Amino acid sequence: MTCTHTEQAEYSLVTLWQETGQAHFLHALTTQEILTALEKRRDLAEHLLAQINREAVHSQHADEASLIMLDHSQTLLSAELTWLDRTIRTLSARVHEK
Amino acid sequence: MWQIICLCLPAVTMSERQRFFALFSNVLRANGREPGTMDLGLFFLHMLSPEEALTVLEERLDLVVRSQNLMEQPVELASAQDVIQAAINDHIQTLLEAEHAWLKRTIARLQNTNLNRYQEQTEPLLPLADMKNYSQTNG
Repeated sequence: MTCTHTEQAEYSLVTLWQETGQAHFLHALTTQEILTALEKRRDLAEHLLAQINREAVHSQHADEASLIMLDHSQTLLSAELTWLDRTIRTLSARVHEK
Repeated sequence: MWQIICLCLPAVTMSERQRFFALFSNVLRANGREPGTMDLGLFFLHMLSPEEALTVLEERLDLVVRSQNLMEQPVELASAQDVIQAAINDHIQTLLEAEHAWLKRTIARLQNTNLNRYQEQTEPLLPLADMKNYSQTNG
């Protein structure tokens, strides 16, 4: 019973990540369109992160759950920005190579 | 994490996305929270006790670790399409790594909160050194 449950959870997880990869927005675009989309996305992520950082300064005395959620948003957005910068660099280099 | 990855799909139109966020905002407001960039799977965290939150986050960490193991397969770069596939895998892996780091940090934080609460509840009336002196004096 437990084994079946674990197998089902594993299968759902595999399916989730396969579908996420297959449906990712980058698949639908050409390299030039990807660069434009990523740069727009970087502007949005930078704007959101700045907003969240400002919120963090004013939330020193907020309840613990709010601080945890704020930390989550900051962590994920910083990671998103890191990926965007890395991917823009890689794809730009490839476009210039051609 | 899930909004960033899952709600920017080409198959989801802008109006569908707006509709989804409007419904999500209504649910948050009904629960006394303001919508922001809050993760769907975590918005209920403030309703849980530290012990319950710890259980939820440990389960989530388990899912993240299993997902990281699934995503670890290397991709050989031969064509432009492979570079895009590598970027997509890198995107998911980068967000999973960030989620992993946040979960570890938050679990440690909640464990610490629980420990402090436990110590406050079971704090002896006299500090340990005073208790030793007391027992030596009083036999």
